[in-house]
Amino acid sequence: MEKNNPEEFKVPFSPLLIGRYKMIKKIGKGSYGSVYKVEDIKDRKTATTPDSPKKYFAVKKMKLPANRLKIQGIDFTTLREINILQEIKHENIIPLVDVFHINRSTFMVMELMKSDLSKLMFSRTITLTIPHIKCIMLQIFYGLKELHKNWIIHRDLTPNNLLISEDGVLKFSDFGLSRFFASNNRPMTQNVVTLHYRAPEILFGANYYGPQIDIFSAGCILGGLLLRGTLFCGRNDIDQMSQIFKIMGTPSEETWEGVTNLPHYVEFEETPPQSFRILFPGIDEDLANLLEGLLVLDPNKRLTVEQCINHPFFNKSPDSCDPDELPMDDIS
Amino acid sequence: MSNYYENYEAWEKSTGTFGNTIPHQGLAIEDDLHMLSTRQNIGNVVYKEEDVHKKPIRCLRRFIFDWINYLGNKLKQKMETKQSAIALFDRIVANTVSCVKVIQKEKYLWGQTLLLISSKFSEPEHNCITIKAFIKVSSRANFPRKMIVNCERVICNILNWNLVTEPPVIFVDLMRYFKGTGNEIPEKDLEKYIQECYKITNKILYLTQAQTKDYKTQAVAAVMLARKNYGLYPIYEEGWEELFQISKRDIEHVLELYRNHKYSMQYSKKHCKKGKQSDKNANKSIFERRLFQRRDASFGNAHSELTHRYKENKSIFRFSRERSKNSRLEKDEESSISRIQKDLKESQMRVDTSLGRSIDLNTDYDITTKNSRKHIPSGRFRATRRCTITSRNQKIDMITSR
Repeated sequence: MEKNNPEEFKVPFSPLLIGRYKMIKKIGKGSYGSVYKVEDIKDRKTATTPDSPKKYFAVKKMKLPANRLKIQGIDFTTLREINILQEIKHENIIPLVDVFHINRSTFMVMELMKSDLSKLMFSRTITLTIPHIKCIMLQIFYGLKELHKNWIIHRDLTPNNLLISEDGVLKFSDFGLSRFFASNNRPMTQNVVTLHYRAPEILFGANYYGPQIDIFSAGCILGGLLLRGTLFCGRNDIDQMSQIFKIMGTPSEETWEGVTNLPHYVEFEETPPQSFRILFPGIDEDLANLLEGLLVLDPNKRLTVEQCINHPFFNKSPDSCDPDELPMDDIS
Repeated sequence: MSNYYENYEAWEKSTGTFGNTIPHQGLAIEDDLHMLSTRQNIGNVVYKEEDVHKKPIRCLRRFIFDWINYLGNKLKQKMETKQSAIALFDRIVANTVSCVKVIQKEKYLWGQTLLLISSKFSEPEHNCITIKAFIKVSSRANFPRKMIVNCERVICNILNWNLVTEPPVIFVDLMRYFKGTGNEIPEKDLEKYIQECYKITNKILYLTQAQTKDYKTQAVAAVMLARKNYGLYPIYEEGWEELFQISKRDIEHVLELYRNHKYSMQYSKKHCKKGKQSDKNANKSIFERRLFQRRDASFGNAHSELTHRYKENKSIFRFSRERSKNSRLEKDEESSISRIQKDLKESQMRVDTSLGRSIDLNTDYDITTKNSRKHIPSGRFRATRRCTITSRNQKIDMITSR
């Protein structure tokens, strides 16, 4: 028997990935790598009717380190992401279709989505009414409930990572930073969550935190939806903290037990907490209550996901609209 | 090559796995990997316990268990990662029995990559293993980077990227979590938890060649493992009879589950090498027996080196033989230092002990020896011999010379 050539082992990077996915164009780019729009050819061949509709997917190509010596096989963030996406199947969490390798880079095939929440949030042409906001927030909470039920923290909840399909269904993506918290009380890293959506206990350098950090960033998103911009946009850690404390008031031992023991604790000038009804004139009392409950500094006093879903704000009229009624057509 | 294939097919037919397996060639490892890495649908991954009982798999499993544990301990990995690596191996074998022949050629590589994968998704970021770190640990793990990366990819493809494993330690941790919050696990889950504990201990005891005839000892071992993870009782300090009194209720529960030998794994005597010796120590508990084995092993090494070096001095030779015979039967617990001192004094050697403390027999210890030369101004060399005893708590150096 002849020995196979080592060159044969390297599959050239062609527009047709594994002879199945046809590459069309590049959609997005990020720290993790790049995303391509892709057409699935295999299903079209096997389908009985030739005029069956084309199937499109999104393919995420993971970036490799620049230095070849630093390559450690498959990156641990991708492995964790694959692990978590395979365990959870829910309406509000993006499904994983396929995974494959070409040379040294890994590819993940996922559902193709139309846009992010950030585009909907920051666009000046779209008007968001309260039923719209209720619909978006409820979908976020349903997704979070499913995650927390399975002992997973997302740790990177931002409008950029919340994708929206054409039907207006909101889906979580980018699980590179997420992890299980059930196993034991192991110390965790503090370099998680983008700065504008980071919870105060991480900013103070706490080694042990829980699913409450996801709820704080959900609160930031709610504020952003009302403000049509980022709620707290600091330049660095200390600026971020000062912006949070301007609205929520400076923490003390009375309001938050054990703050002074946290590793990076810094004293700020004392400012009293402001009410959200002054910041956002014209909102309900219940909405203000919800915002306060989500953005409480003490993580033990913050609302849990189930408390958020059963909050009186969602039971009141006007009811939340269906996901089809979200203003998706106006996104440029 | 044709013979190899025929034999292989015959073996597959005898085991009843013909047709389910992936074809491969008996060439270099990279080609095997290439053949395996071609995409094939294997179907859902189901762990079959029957496959573990087959002979070639069992031998391989024992080896990989030891290798993963050795590497994991040196690299300071958790119990969870080591177990999940072994669980991954079980799943690979359960799917494709033909992998065994491929794995047997490069046992070290496969064990290494299994640990690498499991550490990636269960360790915190700063404690993840890098490929470079393997080389520092042992020379056996010195594989080129390309091979490890390829092997990792093959493993992922075989398992169809279904890398989620639930090592049984999680049940112990969950138990601790519930106790902390004040809630307790309902009885249905408790049964599951004890079943899992029981499975691990069974496997561990089997792999360390400790015979387990009574299901009582197995049950105690399961509870012991749980208790160790609680941090309540260290394993080696108490005999099982004492522990039986302490944790009576837990053991009764286990016994109810396994009274009918339904879940017990029955191992044949063939693969236990020390079958005859264990009959003498049948009355002793497992852990006591294991202690004796370990002590013998360490002494055996020291003696063999001594005998090799000073063959002419027959007195040592005789003495060591008698010692090795009698050491297993001795029940008096002497401190290890005094034993070595006796050995060395009687063979007319000078002994210097830097620390004269006694070591607890309960702790692990190893003995390593090192030879060195001292320069003497008259132009000759004096051979010296350094003996180090390492234990968990303390380190003791001994210098012996002629």
